[in-house]
Amino acid sequence: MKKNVFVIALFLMFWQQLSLADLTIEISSSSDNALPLAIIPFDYAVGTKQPKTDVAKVIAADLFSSGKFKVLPNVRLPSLPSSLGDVDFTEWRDLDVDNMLLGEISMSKKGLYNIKLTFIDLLRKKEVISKRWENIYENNLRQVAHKMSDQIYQEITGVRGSFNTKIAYVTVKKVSGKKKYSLDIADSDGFNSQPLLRSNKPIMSPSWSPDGKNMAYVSFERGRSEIIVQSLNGKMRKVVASYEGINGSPSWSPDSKKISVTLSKSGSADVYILTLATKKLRRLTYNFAIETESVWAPDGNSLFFNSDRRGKPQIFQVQLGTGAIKRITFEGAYNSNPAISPDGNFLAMVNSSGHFNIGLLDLETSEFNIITNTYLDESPSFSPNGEMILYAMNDKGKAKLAIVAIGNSMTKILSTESGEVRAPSWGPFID
Amino acid sequence: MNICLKKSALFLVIFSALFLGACSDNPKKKSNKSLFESGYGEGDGSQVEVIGAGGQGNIDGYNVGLNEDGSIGIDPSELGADLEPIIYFEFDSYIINDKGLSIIKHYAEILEENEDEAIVLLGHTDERGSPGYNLALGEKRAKAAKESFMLYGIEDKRIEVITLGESQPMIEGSNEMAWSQNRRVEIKIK
Repeated sequence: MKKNVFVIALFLMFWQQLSLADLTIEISSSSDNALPLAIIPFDYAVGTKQPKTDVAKVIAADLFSSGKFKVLPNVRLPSLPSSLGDVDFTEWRDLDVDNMLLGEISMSKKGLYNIKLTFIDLLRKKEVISKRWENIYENNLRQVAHKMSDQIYQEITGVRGSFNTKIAYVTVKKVSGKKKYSLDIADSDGFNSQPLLRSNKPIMSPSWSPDGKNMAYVSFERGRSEIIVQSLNGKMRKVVASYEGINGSPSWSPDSKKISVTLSKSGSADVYILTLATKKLRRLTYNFAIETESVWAPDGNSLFFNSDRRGKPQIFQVQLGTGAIKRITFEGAYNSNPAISPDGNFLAMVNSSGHFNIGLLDLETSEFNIITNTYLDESPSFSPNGEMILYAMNDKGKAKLAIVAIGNSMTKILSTESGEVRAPSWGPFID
Repeated sequence: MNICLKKSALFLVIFSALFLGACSDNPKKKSNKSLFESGYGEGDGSQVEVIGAGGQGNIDGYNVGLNEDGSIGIDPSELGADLEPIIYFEFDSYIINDKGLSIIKHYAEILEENEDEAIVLLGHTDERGSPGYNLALGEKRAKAAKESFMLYGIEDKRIEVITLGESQPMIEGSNEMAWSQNRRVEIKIK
């Protein structure tokens, strides 16, 4: 039965009732080689209204979740210096603490917040980061905290932090026995969640455009899979692929002008490139087997995808210039759902030899490691700095997200109390 | 502004109701001759709300009201468990076993006697492995079932194939009992 009737009407959102379902966070394991860090409780100037956001706590949680820092508990702080001049360097050396964060929060003339944050290298006895933010709304204090976390992370590790970024994911809730799907975005720590789309039908495979403006995803709102591109502000929404058969697994080109997709309009599932401006399709694979879940190499010259052309799914790479196809994964009976690191050096994927976990392949050395130990892991997505992987998993029958720091065992679990959460995609850097 | 928006929402509700009313009166349907439960392509109307991010308070989105329902509503007790219109599969496989073939044969015979009926085959997988791959695997299962229907003489154009991948399990749960029920192709009247 075909019905091509769209009823488009304005809709009034009752935001307070429907939103604000932040993800719940738990840290499942911690790392041994973490760098000790002192975060001194911030100074609040006289007359400052206590904000709901504890900026120091947000920074501490960010840095701790990277697995590279451990923050001294407040009870173990030997003193509470308020500036570099107050610091007794020997007492901190005795505690093996090399770095310290100080903060001052005051009200601006406009009744908003002024924040001054100072990061001190206790060995060099100097301020290495000193930042001021002025006239900040209370709602934006978390963002200030994430920006400071990014700076500290970069100062210590040499790599840009990706705390001040967003993630997208799909939540599934049962309302009077019926499943309700929502495509949401949130801060990288699961706070400030906002819906982009709600549907009575499944939403799959959200993919964030590298320019941060649009989301591509699969929606079953008309009973079968279609690929939709939607702007984050909700003003633009287009069905970009609605061919007979599968319309799945959208992935953006690095220049945000094309998406690779899976279509089965010519028989079996194959990978195509869709140029969004011209709607022109280029077919990349011609095999009778399943070819799907393509992702672009960061240089835009090749794509990785999975194919069961050898019987079980494995990852292959296709060169756009020549069309040449090469097998990439050999470890395990099942490798699917590739994700490529931002520097193009590592490939993450769903790997199984019985269990389903996230595997990480060094494309230069071919070293392969399983980096997760949760259950039924899928949908890996790199943080924009390549240091962490966000993925979906199953915890006692409930779908949750997890973030694992590459190179240490730190894993953070993100879940929603009222339902399930899956299909994560980590957004780009916000400049 | 708010009043205007509310009116539009009301319009949507009324329009949807009218449209659904018209739909349930479909004169072409001859479901009384069929043993299938007709559960696809009718129902309460699907809709999505599109919402813009980045704002506070009320955000003006728009509502796309649609009218198809992919809900799965089989009641095997009406059909006899042996002949329920579902074909089951092994993990990561789209091979139809003898039981599946006998089910397809049974429904192919019904289709032979009801020349105006067409079917849709809904391919599903269990939750394991990656969702994108499972979307393709669900289609392979439904297409394998379609080929079998065609071998029993049912014309290509009477069989639509839709994959739902792992998105709509029959049974919730992360164990082999649930998974074995979820790896399936459902036969639905169109």
